[in-house]
Amino acid sequence: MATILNTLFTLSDEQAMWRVQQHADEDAFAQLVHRWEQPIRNLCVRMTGDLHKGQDLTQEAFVRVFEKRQLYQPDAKFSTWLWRIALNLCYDEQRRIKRRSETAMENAEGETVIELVADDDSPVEQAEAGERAAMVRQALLKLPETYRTVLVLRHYEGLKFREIADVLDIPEGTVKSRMVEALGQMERLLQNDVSKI
Amino acid sequence: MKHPAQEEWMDYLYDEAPANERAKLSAHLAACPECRERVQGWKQTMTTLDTWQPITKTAPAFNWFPVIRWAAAAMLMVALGFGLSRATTPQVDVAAVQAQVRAEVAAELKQQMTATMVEFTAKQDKLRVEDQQQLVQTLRQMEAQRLADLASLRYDMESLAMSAQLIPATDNERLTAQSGNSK
Repeated sequence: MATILNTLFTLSDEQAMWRVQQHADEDAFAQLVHRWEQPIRNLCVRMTGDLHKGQDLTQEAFVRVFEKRQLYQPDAKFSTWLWRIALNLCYDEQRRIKRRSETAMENAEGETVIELVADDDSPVEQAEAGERAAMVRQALLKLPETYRTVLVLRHYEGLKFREIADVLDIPEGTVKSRMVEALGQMERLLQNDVSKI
Repeated sequence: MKHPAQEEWMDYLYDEAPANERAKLSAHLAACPECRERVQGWKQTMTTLDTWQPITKTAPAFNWFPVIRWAAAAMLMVALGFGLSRATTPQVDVAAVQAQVRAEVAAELKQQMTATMVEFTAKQDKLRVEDQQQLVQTLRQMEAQRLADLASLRYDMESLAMSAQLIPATDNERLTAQSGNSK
């Protein structure tokens, strides 16, 4: 019964966004932030390889959602719009980094990203897991943006190929082709890193 | 042997292939060492990708309140300062507010009543002056009328008096005549 009532009285993302758009409804906006804060943060951290930048970009993404609320098309899926906003912010950030001749690798080597490893592993296992995670992160940052985007959205964020096609506004077949290329490049990058170790 | 397109394997690896497609791909995989090796390589990469879980234990929660705060501030800036002060006041002393409102209302009423009284008095004074003028004029008219009536009455009285002086003689003469006849 409680579930049914919750379903009846819980706004969908699109309904909540409509309220934000029409009435600048703070409660509806808070609901959207609550639902999407974590996925967007994960996306931004994985796209930039930097925890703090990822968090800043996440905050900026929601600020932009609120600022640009009048541009939201009520018949469009909210999440598609939100992913697109967050991705554009990540792209802008990457370009700023390039302009400053500041590689994401340098950031990745700092202390800003802390890898989460299982607590029940031994210290040696934890160290190895951390090393593998750092290797993956660095390899991912070497991946061209086009392929990294598809890989992060599909593999880490769990979007369907169809949804990714909508977010990027490209054919679904192109998304899958990019995914093939992304996995292939990652395989090579990881093998190189392993051989260096 | 015809191999499935690489894009088809993506559907297979990420469980997006329909059941019949998945069955066909599984059958092909069992029979094709080349594709099996290829798919195994992808699976290995996917497993390695899973080792990076960058959600940190120390990550502070996203503070989205500035968004709301800025939006609210923008709206409140447009709104009246009165609303702002009231909205940001954490606790309101109802009795004090009531007393203040009461005093303000009383002062306002007093001011309005004073203004009304002044206006009323001015109107009354003006009316009184007009009444006095009207009364004086009426009295003058009455006095003039009275004088005119008096003059008319005097004329009539004098006329009557003159007539009276004539009538008694005639009457005496007639009475004397009558008395002589009777004797």
